[in-house]
Amino acid sequence: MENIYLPKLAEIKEIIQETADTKTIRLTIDGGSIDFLPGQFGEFSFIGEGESTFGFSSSPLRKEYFEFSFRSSGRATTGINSLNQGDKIAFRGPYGNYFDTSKMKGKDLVFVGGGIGMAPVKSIMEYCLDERDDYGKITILYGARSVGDLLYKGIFDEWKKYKNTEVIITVDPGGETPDWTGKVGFVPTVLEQLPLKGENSVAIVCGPPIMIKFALKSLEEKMGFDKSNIITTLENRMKCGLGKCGRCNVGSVYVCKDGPVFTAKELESLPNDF
Amino acid sequence: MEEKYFEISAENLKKFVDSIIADNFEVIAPTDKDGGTFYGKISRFEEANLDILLPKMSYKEYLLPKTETLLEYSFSGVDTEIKDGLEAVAGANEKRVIFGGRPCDAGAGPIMEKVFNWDYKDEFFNERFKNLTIVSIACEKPDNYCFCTEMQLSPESSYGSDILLKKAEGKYFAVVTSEKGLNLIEPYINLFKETAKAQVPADKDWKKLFEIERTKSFLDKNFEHNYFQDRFLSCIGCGVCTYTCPTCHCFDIQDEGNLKEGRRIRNWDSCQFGVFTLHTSGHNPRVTQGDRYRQRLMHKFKIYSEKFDKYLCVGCGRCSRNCPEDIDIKEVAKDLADMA
Amino acid sequence: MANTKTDEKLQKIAKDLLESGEVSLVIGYAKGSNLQRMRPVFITKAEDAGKLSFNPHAVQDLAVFLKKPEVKKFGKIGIVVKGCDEKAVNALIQEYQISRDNIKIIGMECNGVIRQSLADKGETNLSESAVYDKCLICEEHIPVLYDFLIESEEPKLVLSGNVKPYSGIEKLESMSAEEKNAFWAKEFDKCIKCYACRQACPLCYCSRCIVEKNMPQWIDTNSEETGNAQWNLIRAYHLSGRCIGCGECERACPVNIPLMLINEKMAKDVYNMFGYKSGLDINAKPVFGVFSESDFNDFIK
Repeated sequence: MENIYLPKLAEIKEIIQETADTKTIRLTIDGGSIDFLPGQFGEFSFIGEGESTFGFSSSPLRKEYFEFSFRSSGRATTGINSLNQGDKIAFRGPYGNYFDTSKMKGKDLVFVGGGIGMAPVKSIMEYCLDERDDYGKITILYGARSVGDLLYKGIFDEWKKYKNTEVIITVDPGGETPDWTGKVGFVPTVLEQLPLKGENSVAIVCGPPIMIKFALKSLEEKMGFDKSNIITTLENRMKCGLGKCGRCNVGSVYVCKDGPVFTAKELESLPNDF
Repeated sequence: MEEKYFEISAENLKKFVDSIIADNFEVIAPTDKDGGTFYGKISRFEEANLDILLPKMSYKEYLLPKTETLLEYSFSGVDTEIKDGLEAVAGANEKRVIFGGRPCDAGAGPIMEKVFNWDYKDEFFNERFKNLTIVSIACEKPDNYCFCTEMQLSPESSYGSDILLKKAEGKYFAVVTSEKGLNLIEPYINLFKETAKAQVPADKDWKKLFEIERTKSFLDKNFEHNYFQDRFLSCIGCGVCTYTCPTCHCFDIQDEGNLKEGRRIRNWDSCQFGVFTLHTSGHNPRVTQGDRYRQRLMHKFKIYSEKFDKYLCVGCGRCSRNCPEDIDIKEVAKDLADMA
Repeated sequence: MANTKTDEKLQKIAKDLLESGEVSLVIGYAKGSNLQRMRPVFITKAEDAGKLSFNPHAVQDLAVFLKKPEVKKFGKIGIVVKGCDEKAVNALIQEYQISRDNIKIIGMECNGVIRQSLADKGETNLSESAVYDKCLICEEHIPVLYDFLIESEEPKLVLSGNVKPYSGIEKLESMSAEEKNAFWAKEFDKCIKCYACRQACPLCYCSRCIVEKNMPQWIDTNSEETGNAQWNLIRAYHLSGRCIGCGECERACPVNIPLMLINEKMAKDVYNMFGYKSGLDINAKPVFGVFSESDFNDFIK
């Protein structure tokens, strides 16, 4: 008999303080990463303080570690936040479906991330960058409320090094600092100004619901993306991650099992319950 | 297993129950206690109340306890020890018999089994379910809150029972549907007399008040409908409907303990609670009680059937009888069917 | 079922209130799922006022809906209340949860309501043994505050004195601490944490209940010994000096925990120590919201 709720213990290899209240934690099990696919998620905990659901933020092709990014807000995340390098995190996963790269191969890719919603985007994006030759032009648009709220600041330059890859970083109006050299503007607004065409392209969009709503509208209506070529994730509240506890129902979908990755076309057929 | 049929006198039924109790079976039956009738352990046949239609609570807790330990942990210096909670569940219910429940309650087990096994196998549920022996009694007089017939069962359905007893002419007929049932009566087989199916009284022609497929068809087309917001203004958002329901199975996972030791548990949870779907960001997909009661209807009459080919409702009517504000789910399901 | 005179009066008042625009919603009772049950009804159109009815099966305390955001949206509200329920309206006004100006109180003279557990078995007669304990000690057969009053057609309840209301309290008071603990441990063991006690209570209106807060985790989440005891005791403490004795928590409890024994004991102690009864005067300050030099304060050593 296997206990599906039993976590494994993962060791914290590295902690990156991304912003004042967010961190990226790199973990290893048996000295390396685990098998997962971009878009999947896990249940992470400082055991005794409860589990939290996070998507993976690293590329599964980088085998030295697997990572997730989180904001410290509740009891469980405060628990994780208190841990140090070398400490253990209880982990269950990977769960859920994933970004299907077979439908992205050979196409131009647009990655759009807002705030901490950049985490799952980073996973699929780095996965594609790791196999750069399989894809056409890659455009990365990432925005946050302010310069201080941007995650992954240390690796923007790394992304830019790849051929035929454009990286655009933006902050909401008012969120810029005097030395800010990136864009200023909301993600959907900046997105609209980019010379993108829906033809032979796939867009991956993750972020706050309001950003997703407007970004999807721009991509569909202004740039002519087909709904089945716009991919996003649902961030419903989850507990088990295994399709049992009933919390993440949207229509007849269990987000934890049938999602969290959905195309805009699939979302259209779901009731407005997320 | 092919069904087997037996006759047993009322007197021998009493002997049977007293015998299994004497042989260390834990017999859970409807019994009068706490100012009502609840399922509870009986120490002799007379303590069972077989006249009551349904105890106030279902016996769900024997399949899905209100609190279950998933794992225990301890920290010793730098190392974390995790003890698998399944160890304590192994063999649970092996000598436990639910006696005198009704066909609706019996139907709940195999329905819930589906969600607990559709991909990942929940062995906590499975271990309890596999070992529990269920001896039900067919209903002669369902009340106005009952709608098992509409829910594809019937007051005489043997679905989910290891043994179904049907009362007739002062004696009982026992329909044995499983090896588990057969094993239970084997040692006391002299109290039973095997008979042919033809001798067992045929099921009555139970009439339906509405077609549940029509309820579903309304739900298919009407996520946004004033009915939900208007009708459930009277819902106070307690968990009585979900917690007394034999099929509602939603749960929460929580850790309890201190820096040295503790446990991870799962507790019953309810879609009727405002915090059930509340995001950390403050966003809540289900803002009103109308949204939440709609989810209960959707899960029971649409979502589950699309996913698992079974409605997540056995028509026991407990949610209606127990609702402090008199929300009657049968009436609601019929309203929806009528509007479809 | 034909309208009684009471029903007609009630319907007329509601109709007038809605037609004149004095309120946009009337919360009252309508016939329920069986002849011995009534249920809350929400009337927004004058032509629907005919649904309103009242009889000794009107057990619910409708003041519970005044805390509900979906109901608050209606602004000016008319509400049908028995004397006990009306005290909840007063307490809500005292605690600044609602404004007297936004509420039209349709007071029902009430001689008692029949226990639902008995009504479900067919009981229809108002008698000493059929009504709730709260009805036997009721001092507000006519609500203390109302805009409209409808007198009862029911005969007054005759009290022989043979039924002793809340007799469990005296028994509990005579017990040792260990015995009391054992008594409540057994009762709380039944709790399933469905929070019907909280949700049915007109005065449990916190937008985020302490049981839903986890930083720190005030109440263990388990539904076993510790979690159940912590929940039930904290619920009771949060209502001491506030509970108006409508008994809805106990009626709603699906596992029959005698919650009114705690609530009434608290109310009794608060009265003995501070001379205060909850919900009688909208201008009074809540007893635990003010300090007076004459307050019982022997506990300060």
